[in-house]
Amino acid sequence: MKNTNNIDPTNRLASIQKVHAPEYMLTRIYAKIDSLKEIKVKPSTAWSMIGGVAMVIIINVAILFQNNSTIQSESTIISEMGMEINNSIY
Amino acid sequence: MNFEEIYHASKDQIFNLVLQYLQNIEDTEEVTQDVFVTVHEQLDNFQNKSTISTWIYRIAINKSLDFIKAKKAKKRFGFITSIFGDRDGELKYDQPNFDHPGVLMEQKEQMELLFSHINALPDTQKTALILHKIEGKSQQEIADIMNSTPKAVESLVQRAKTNLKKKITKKRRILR
Repeated sequence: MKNTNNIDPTNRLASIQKVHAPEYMLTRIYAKIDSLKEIKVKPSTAWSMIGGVAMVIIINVAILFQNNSTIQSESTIISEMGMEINNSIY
Repeated sequence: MNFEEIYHASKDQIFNLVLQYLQNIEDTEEVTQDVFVTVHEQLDNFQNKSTISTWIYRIAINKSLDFIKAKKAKKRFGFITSIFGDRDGELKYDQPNFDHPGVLMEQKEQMELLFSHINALPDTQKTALILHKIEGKSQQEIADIMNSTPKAVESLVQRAKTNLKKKITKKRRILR
């Protein structure tokens, strides 16, 4: 009986035939490249967007701090705005 | 060399190489396209530290291995979702499908089994075996592609063969 244990199983791999890449592949590659170009954002655009968002955040924080430092008591605001209620209806 | 010249010079080699990793024509077309998209993107950054063909081979190998990893991860995720109950009970991953046009019909079953064992080898052994046994590359060429030495490549191929023999013998014992 033939001993199959000593046969190199990888010898069979030599019988694999070469195939050709499909003709339409280059067209598809160019389509992929074009679609990637559309998605890609220029670094300068990305940085200007980040800068814009950062500016908005800084302005908001600055306004919040400014408001905190000038908080006035409720009674001062009422008197300054002439909102005192001097009638007995309410 | 411009992109189209490179493409026409290496498309068949790269297509065949990727096919040996994936053994599926649809996946091979997708990965080969990705390889050439990367080549197109990186061509200006290519430094002549190696030959262009070695560089493209490296890209193709990395893309193929990444694709396999991604597919395995998807498969694992599909398994988890199937355990925790999917509404229609459908698995969310594709079953591996052996569709290798370079394999003769009468050898398809044997080759499918052999490739299933090759797929279970570590990445370096698998790469050395594919490049040596199927692509017919010399040890020096493989060493250049894998950033290694011919000695190390020889050892990888030997280990791959030994592991394959073990796996096949084990399978035969189970089937008896």
